[in-house]
Amino acid sequence: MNFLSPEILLAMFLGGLYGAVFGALPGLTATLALSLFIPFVLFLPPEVGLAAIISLSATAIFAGDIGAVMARIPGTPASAAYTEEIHELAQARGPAFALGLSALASALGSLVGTGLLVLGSLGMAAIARQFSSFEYFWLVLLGVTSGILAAPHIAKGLVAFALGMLLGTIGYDPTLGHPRFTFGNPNLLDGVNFIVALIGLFGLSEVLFQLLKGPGAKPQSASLSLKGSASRFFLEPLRLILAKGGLFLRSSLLGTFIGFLPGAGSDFAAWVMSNFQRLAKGSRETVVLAGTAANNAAVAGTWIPALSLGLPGDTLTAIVLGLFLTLGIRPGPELFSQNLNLVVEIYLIFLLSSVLIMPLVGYLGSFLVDLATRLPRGVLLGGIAGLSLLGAYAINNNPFDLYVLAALGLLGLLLRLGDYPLGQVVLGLVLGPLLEQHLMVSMIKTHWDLFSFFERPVALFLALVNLAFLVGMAWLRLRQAKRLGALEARKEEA
Amino acid sequence: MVWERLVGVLAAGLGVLAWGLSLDLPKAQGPGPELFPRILGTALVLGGLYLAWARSEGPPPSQAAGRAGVKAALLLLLLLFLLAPSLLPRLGVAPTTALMAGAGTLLAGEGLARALAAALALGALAYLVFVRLLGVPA
Repeated sequence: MNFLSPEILLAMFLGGLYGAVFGALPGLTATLALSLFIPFVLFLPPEVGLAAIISLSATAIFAGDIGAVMARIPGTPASAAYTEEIHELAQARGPAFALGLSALASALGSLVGTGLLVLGSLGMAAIARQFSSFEYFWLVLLGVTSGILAAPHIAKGLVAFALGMLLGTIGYDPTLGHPRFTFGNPNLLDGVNFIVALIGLFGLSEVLFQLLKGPGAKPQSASLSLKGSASRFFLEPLRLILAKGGLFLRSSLLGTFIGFLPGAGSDFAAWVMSNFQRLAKGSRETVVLAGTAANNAAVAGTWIPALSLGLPGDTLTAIVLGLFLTLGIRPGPELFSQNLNLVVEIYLIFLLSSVLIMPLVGYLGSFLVDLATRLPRGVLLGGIAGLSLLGAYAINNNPFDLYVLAALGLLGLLLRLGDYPLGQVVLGLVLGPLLEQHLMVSMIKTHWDLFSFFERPVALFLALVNLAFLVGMAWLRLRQAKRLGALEARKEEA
Repeated sequence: MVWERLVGVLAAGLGVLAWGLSLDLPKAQGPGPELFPRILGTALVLGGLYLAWARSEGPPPSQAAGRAGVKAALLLLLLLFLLAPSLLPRLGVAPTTALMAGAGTLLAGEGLARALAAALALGALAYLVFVRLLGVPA
């Protein structure tokens, strides 16, 4: 199927609109949008499903800014990094300018990220062909450590990651094939279904959490503020981006690099880049420009390890990798040698999504969000409850999956109430079996000789990268906390 | 924050359970299938106990979380989801989906008319898209 075929273009357009609505409504994240969408994708041709997913995830991250502009409520965690600034910008220069800056910086940031995705994934895949289980062990461990250290609270990140990995141990063990923790139930022999887990953790738990939380704020009407404002949406922000080209490029490049680090993702990229701008005493415009360019460039960056190594860069790519495995597609160097067409299609869809879909859907999506915000909250929650049940059942047509859905919905609710990061549970669910497999294969190969993990030069290099990353991240977090603390203190004094 | 501590205790309990259940796993020459769950169990026990005992950093629990009506709604919805595996083979996919959407809407505080509308919309989606178009068994 040609990537410019009507089916793919329609899938991108509809996926983008769907992502825009979910991304804009506070509490409904890109991850939730993707979790509820996956059961549909399983029935579509892979290229069409992937087109919708890429467009959805790119647009949802941008659309998080709509809630921030209209009601000072970020639609996604990636927008939370610069909510204050983008809201103030909307007050001062109008919502059309603020949303236009966000849409264009997102689109161009995504374009830079796509360029690096092509170069980075081809390069990584070529290098990864030489990797053995030792190198893969260190790479997966890097994903685990960066995922834990990127969590807002490290101990909670650790517990969430370990819970996800423990869920991943249910069923046959990956090396010797012994059933574990199945309690004699044959439905658990193949483990917890990844997509059912996802719907339980994000879909059902969202409904339960919103029921407990009570009515929340919704963004105000976006369409009224955007009427007759195409030039303020497109032209003025473009002038600003061109004038601040250096900052834009720096943010996009660093954003892609942060997205590339397994487990870090677009939220982290946006926080780092907007904090750098705050520390450099940048204006509201530059803080927004840096944050929004970085978080969308990071979306493409997260696909570099996902495609070339089979390691998720964030929760969204963790979901996509789970989908790949369900469809029988094995990401990693083999994907590039055996299914290069699919890889090229992914690149092209990213390109089209950046250049065309994001600005267009960004503009149209703002109007659609207006309609969605008129839906009563209870109807929205009822709809998610119905879709959660439907999606979890449709995957295997097995009623037992609904028990798993209820159990994980309850676990997700408890984790949300305790402010534990749910994304880390999903990353643990994907990375846990990989980490165990490479650990056990390496140890069996060398008869439990731990020194063998450091004998191959690349393995030793990756072990040192792990150590450097651990020390570097701890130092960066301490330094940022200190400097932001000092900034807050100065603000209070003033 | 009470939930933070509660999840800490739950995580530590799951860690102990992982250790306990791994004792029954078949032994191999050297570490076998029990090794990884034990590593995770240790991390869960240590992390969970730290979070259960450490000074809380989160916001206080919201008042809504303590209201009796809200708790009842939550429990009812959870109960419905637990009953769904028995209901589904008897009622079929579309009616069960409609029931869940309607019940969810009602429990979220909307009126009967809106709950019926949500039930009809989701029931129609389940039937037309999943059963007729995608071939999910009814």
